[in-house]
Amino acid sequence: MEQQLEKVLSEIAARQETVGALLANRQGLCLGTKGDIDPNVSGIGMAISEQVAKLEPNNTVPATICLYSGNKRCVIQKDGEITGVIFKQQAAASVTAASN
Amino acid sequence: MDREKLIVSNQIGYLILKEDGAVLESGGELKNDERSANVIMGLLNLTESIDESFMPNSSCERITIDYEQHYYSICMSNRRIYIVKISKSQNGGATTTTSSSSSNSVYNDASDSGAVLA
Repeated sequence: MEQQLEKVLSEIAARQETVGALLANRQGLCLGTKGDIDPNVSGIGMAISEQVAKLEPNNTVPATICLYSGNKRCVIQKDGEITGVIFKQQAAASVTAASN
Repeated sequence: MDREKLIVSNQIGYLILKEDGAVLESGGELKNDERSANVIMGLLNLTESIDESFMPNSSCERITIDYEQHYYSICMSNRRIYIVKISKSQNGGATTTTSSSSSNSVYNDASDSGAVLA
């Protein structure tokens, strides 16, 4: 089971602009991390996804939450029992390109 | 029929809250929606401290909540919290504003995480 989680985390971490990725269980406990991300983020990440689930409880497809701070983004998505948290950081070059 | 405030094109509802969560203005699908306002205030309290080493506390300037057909965009300006519910369908949104670039990045994020968590 851990191997599959590791594989998924590696796939996420290999994506462009990804700094770190984490998977948390229903209790907010960290199942695994990859890259530069604090495992303690699992608790707050889970709490955020649970809070957003209250917004549209009848919606069967879980929402994707994205928090923006400058060139950094924190993406959170809950899928059943598991919550994923991804930290992303835009490279300086792409930031200037995007603003043009 | 009362004319509703248009914050962005493709908007289907909006809420403007005070810092304490009190609803100042609302319209569309979010008209008088205090329940959603409370859920979002709870979310804002949670997002104040994610990870100090990655994002400084209270530095989060914008939040999007992305569903299949629509998304919510939340930001703070002039001590007011603006929550806009925006449709993703293209009808009515012929003129693209600055919000288009941000919504594009949301789609990318959604497909990114959707693919890996599916």
